[in-house]
Amino acid sequence: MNTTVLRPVLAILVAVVVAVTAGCSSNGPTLTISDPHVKAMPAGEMSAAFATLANTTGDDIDIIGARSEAAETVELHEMVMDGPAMTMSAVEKIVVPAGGTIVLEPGGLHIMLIGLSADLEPGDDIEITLVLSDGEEISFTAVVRDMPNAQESYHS
Amino acid sequence: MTESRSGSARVGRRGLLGVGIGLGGLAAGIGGTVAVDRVRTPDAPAALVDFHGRHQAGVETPIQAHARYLAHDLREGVDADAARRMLRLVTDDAARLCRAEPAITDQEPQLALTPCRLTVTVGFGPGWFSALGLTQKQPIGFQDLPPYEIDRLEERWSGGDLLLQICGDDPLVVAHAARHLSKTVRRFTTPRWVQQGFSTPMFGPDSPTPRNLMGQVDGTVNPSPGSDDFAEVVWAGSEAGWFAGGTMLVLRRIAMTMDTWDELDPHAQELAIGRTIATGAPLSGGGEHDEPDLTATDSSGLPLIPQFSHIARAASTGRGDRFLRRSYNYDEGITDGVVDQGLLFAAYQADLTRQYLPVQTRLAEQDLLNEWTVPIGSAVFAIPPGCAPDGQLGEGLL
Repeated sequence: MNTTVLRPVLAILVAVVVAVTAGCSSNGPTLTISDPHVKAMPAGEMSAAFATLANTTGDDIDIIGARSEAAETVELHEMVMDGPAMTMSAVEKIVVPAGGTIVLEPGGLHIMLIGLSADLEPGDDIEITLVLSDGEEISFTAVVRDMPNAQESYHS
Repeated sequence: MTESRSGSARVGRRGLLGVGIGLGGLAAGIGGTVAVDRVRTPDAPAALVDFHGRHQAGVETPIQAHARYLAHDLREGVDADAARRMLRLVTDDAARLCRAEPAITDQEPQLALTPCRLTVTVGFGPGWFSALGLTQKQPIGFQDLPPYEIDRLEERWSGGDLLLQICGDDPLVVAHAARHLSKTVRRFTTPRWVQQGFSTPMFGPDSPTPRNLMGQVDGTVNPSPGSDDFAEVVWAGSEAGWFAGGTMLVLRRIAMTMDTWDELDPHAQELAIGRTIATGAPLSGGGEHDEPDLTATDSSGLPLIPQFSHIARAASTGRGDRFLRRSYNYDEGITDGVVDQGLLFAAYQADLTRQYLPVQTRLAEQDLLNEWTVPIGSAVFAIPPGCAPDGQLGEGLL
């Protein structure tokens, strides 16, 4: 079992992007994850993580799941219009198109963390792992932020 | 928002095939548009001031047109770890905003995009060190000012544990940065006061010295940015330990009693200050930047520069009592039926006890200008050194 140091690190400024190579070969799918952040919430509550995902390859990348030790359950979600209101619903996958970019943001696609195992305090880090359709996994570190918005995720 | 080390277990196992430099990092480190906080020519003002460096920006930076100072107090229960987390976020936000990029979670990202020499400067008041159990690490010479007889200080303009000094040439960008950073720190702090000021901007050493609302040039005797003299006067040296590269700010809100000042004829105004209003030249003759001759007399033997004029009392005695003046004007319109104008007097020095207090003591004892100037606010802040792109403000302390 590998572990990653989760102590908040100093180097958040340069490493704005966590560029992680997903493939074990040089021609494997590559996803860069920039500005990952997660909403500060108390233990036991739900939260959501956001980032910009860029696919630098010529093939679509399908994200089919996610997990984190910071939460009991982690799901891929989107906000959709349900009559007059936005509601949240789980999606089976998030497709990052070849050469394209997907923004996970309040009011849109996001990574839902359900049942936080500890308080998420602003300025702390949590690690999140994305699972791709080809079985590859990509881990990244998201910094905890106060977010006055991103409220809709918590009403259902 | 993380570093490569935290990449992933998987990456660690396989070796990192490619660690990207983020878009933000690219702009910070490699992009050609990023200007350094150094001397420039008046006709080519650089639009971006590098947030990173040995010193924080916003001190040696030629004065921008607008300033907003925000003082906060630490919330009960905020400890050194929480303070470090807060500064981590402030550092990240400030670095992005100073690159004219939105901060993470920026809710008005469009307002961040105008390059306008934005600087964000962070400072710690005496209460910061005591609340966090860090009094042992308080920089030598950093202390609250003693009370002065001339003071009419109001709580609403005084004190504070944390200072955010935000300066730039576009007031909308400054307001946005202030709003965003206020949200970033509010989990950790409560707001104490906000003071806003304006100045004719300077773009380099050749820019004319700005004037205050009394019409006087203000800052003539400043050390020249980029010079060894400046470094010696303003920046704490290696003996300061973690504080090396930092500076100490004295920020005083000086109300100007403009209505009685207006009753003076121009020459009486000049005698109070010791300089001509028009050119800023000392009354002993020469140009603005010529040394005042405090011994010069007129034909009847009277001193050309009155003994109790502002510049005579403020003049350095040659014993290290100099500092950088980087003051802003304020104008709040009419308050209680009286014109509410004055100066956000900002003095920066390596050691305020050694450099500032002797001057303030002399001015408080005797200064003709005291008749028309009233200190109504006062605060001191230790401005920690700057940080590298992979660092954060307050490192070495927290």
